[in-house]
Amino acid sequence: MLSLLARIIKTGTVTEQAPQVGSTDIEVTGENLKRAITRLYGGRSLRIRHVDAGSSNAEEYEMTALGNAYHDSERFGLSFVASPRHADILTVSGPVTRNMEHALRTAYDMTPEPRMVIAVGDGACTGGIWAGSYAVVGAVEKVIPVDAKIFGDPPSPLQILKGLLAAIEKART
Amino acid sequence: MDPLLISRLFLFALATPAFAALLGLLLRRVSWSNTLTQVLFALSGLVGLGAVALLALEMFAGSLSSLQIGGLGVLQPLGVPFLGIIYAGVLLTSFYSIAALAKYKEIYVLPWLNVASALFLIGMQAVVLAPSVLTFLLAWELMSIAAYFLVIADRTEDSLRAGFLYFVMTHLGFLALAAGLLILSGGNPLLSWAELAQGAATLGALPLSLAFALLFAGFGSKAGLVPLHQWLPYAHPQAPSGSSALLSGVMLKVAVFGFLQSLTFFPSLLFPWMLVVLLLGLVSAFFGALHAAVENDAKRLLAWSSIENMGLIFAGIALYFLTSGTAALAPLAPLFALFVMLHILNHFLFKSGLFMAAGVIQSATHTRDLDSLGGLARRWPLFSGVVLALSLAAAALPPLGTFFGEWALVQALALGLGAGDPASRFTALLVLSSVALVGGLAIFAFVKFFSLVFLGRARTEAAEHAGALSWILATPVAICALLSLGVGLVAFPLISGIPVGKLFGAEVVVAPGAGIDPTLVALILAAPALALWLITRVLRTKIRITDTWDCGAPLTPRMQYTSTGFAAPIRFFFRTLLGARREIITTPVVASNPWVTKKHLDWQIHSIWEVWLYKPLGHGIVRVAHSVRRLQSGVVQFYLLLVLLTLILTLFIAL
Repeated sequence: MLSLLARIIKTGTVTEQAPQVGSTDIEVTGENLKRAITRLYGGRSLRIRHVDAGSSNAEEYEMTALGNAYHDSERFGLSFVASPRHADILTVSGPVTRNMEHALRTAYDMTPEPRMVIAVGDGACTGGIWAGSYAVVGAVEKVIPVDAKIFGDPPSPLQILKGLLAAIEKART
Repeated sequence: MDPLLISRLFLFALATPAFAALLGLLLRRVSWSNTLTQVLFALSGLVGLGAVALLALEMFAGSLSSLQIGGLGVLQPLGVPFLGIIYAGVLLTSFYSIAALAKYKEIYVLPWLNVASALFLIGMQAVVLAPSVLTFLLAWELMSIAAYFLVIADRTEDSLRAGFLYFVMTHLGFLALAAGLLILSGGNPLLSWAELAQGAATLGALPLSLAFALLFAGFGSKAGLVPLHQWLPYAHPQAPSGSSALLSGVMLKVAVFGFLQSLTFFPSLLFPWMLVVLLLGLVSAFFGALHAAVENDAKRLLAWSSIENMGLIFAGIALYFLTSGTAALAPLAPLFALFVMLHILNHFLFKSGLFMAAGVIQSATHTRDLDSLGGLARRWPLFSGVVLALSLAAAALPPLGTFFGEWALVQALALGLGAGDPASRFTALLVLSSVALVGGLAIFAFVKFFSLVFLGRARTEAAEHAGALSWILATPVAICALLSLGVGLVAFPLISGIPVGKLFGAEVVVAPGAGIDPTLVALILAAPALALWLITRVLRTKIRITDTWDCGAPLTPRMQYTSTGFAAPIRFFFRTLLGARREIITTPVVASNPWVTKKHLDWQIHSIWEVWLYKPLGHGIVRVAHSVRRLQSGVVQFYLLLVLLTLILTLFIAL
C-alpha cells in the first residue's frame, strides 16, 4: 500500500501537455463556422445527413474523425443525424455507383427545404479514379444539384470544416 | 288529423312486409324479386314513419293521448318513439338490402330470408302495439324466432352454433318473461295492460320482487345485459349486415321498450331493484366496452359495443327512477330521462350505420378481420369520412348526437356529487367514474375500428383490390351519419335549457345549472378548424409531399400496427377480467443447435362469464340429467307406478 503511494508520488505526471485551446487552426475555423451558422439563419446548429454513394470509405473515416474528442465538431454546432427528414445538409461521398443512384435521389427528395448538398472527396466531386467506369454514374452533380465541393482524396477533417465554412458563407450571399 | 286515418297508416305499415315477402316468394324466379320486396319493405317503413310523425304532432297538440289501431291494439305515448325507430330502421336497411343482398344470391336463399325479415319486422311492431299479455308474448316469440332465422341465414357452421346459443338464450328469456307476466296477471294471460297494472297493485312484496327479477332477466337477456349477454356478440354478426343493423340497432330498443313498459306495473319497491339494474347496467357497459376494445372482428366489435350502450341505457333508466323518488335528487331525474331517450335514438343511428358500413366493407374485401383490412380511405375518401363521423358518434365525441346525450348523463352525475345524502353522493361518484372508464374504452375501440380499416396501407390482397363503392350501399350509411349529426344540432338547444315535453309521462324541464354553454362548445370545435385554415390558406406554406422515409428498406403493410398489437396494453391491463392467456412456443429448427429456434405466439381471450358461469351450469345440468336417466329402467310396471304416484301427488296438492 505504502510502496504504491510512494511510487505514485515518485513518478509524477507523465502524460503529454494538454493542447492549447483557442489557438489551433481547427478552433479558429470552428469558431468562424459557428458565427457563420448564426449569421445564416440566427440559429445555433446545422444537421448533416451523410450519404455514402459508393466511396472507398476514406471520406467516412475522416468525417467520423470530426466527431472524436480532438475535433469535437458538435461544439461548433455540427451534428450528424440518422434521417434526411432531420437534415439541413446532405453530404455525399464516392463516385455515385449505379446501385446507389436511386437511393441518393430518394434521400435528396426526402430532405426538407432549404437544404444544401456538399460533395465530399474527389470521387464525389469529379468521379476521381473511377470516372468513366461502367459501374459508376460519376460525379454527384450528374445525379442531384450540388451546392459545394470539398476536394481531396480524402479531405482531412480540417479541410472538411473549411469546406463547410466556405459553403455556408457562399449560401449566405 | 283523423285518428282513423293514422291508425290505417299503421295497419298498412304492419301488413305490407307480409305482403312483400309473399310476393317475393311467388316471384322468386324473377330477377328483380328481391328488389321488389325490399322496395315494399322500405315503403312500409316510410308510411309508418309518416304515421308516427302525424301521431306525434297530435299528441304534442294534446288532442290525442293514445291511439286505437284497428282491432289489434292500443298505441301508448311511450311506444311512439320506439315505433319511429323501428320504421326508420326498416326504411334504411331495406334500401341498403336492395344492393347488399343481391351480391349474395348464392349464399342466402333470398325469398325465404325476406320472409324471415318480414316476420321479424311484424313481430317488432306487434311487441310495441300488443294490448295484452298473450299478444305481447306471441309477438315477442315471433320476433325472436324470426331473428333466429336471420342469424342462421348463411347456414355456415359458425352461424348454426351462434344461432343455437341464441335460440336457447332467447327461450330462457321468453320463459322468464312469461313467468313474470303471469305472476303479475294472476295466471290469466288475456288481461290487458291496464287490468294487469290494477291486479299487480294488490300483490305482496315477494311475488312482485319475483316478477320483477324474472322480467328484468327476460328483457335483459334480449338487450344483452351481463350475465345473459353471451349470445349477442356471436349471433348479431352472423346475420346479413342489413339484418345485423336491425338486430343491434332496433331489436335491442324493443327490449328497452318492453322493460320500460313493464316498469309501470311496479309502483312500489322499485328502489332496491333499481340498484340491481344500475349495477348490472354498468357491469354490462364495462364488459361490452372492454371486449369491443380487444376484439379483432369488425362486426363482433360492433356487437360488443351494443352491449356497452345497452348497459348505459339501462343504467340511465335505473338512475332516473332512483333520483325521481327522492326530493333532494328529483331535479336531476329529467337529465337522466333525456340521456336515455337521446341515447336510444343515437345508438340506433350510429349502430345501424356502422353495421351497414361493415357490410359494405365485407362485401368489397370479403373479410371482417381487422388485421386483414386497412388503407380503404385512399380508395373511398368520401365513405371513410362518413364512417369516421359514425365512429365519432360511437365514441360519444362532439359534435354528434351521442355526445350531447352522454353530456346530460355526466352533468347529472356531476351535480349528484353535490346533492343528497352521503350514500347517494358516493354512488354518484362510483357511477361517474365507471361511465368515464367505459367512455375511454369506447373511444379506444372506435379509434381501433376506424384506423385499422381505413388508415395506413392494405394488409391483404383483398383489401388492396377493394372495388368501386356502390352508391346505393353507401347512401343509407351516409344518411345515418347525417341524422346523427342532426340529432346533435337538435340536442344542443335541448341541453342548453329548453323544456323537453312529456317523457315517461312526466313533465321534463332540464335542471338549471346542468346546461352546456353553446358558445364554448362552438369555440372549442371551431378553433382547430380555424387554425388549420389559417396555416394552409393565409400563411401559404409551400408543401412538398414525398414518400415516407424508409431507411432504404421498402415499407411493407406488415410494419403497421395490427388490431392485436394495438389492443395489447388493454389486454395486458385487464388480463384477469378477459381471461387472457399468452404463450410463446419455441421449437428448435435444427435438433443439434438449441439457439436456432422458431417462435410462435399463441394468445387467447375468454369471456369470464362463459368460463365461470355458463360452462359450470351446462356441466351441472348434464350431470343431473345423467343421474335422472337411471330412472329409465325400461320396465312398464315401473312407469305405471310413476304415473300413479304423480296422480296421487297432484291430487294431494290440488285438494
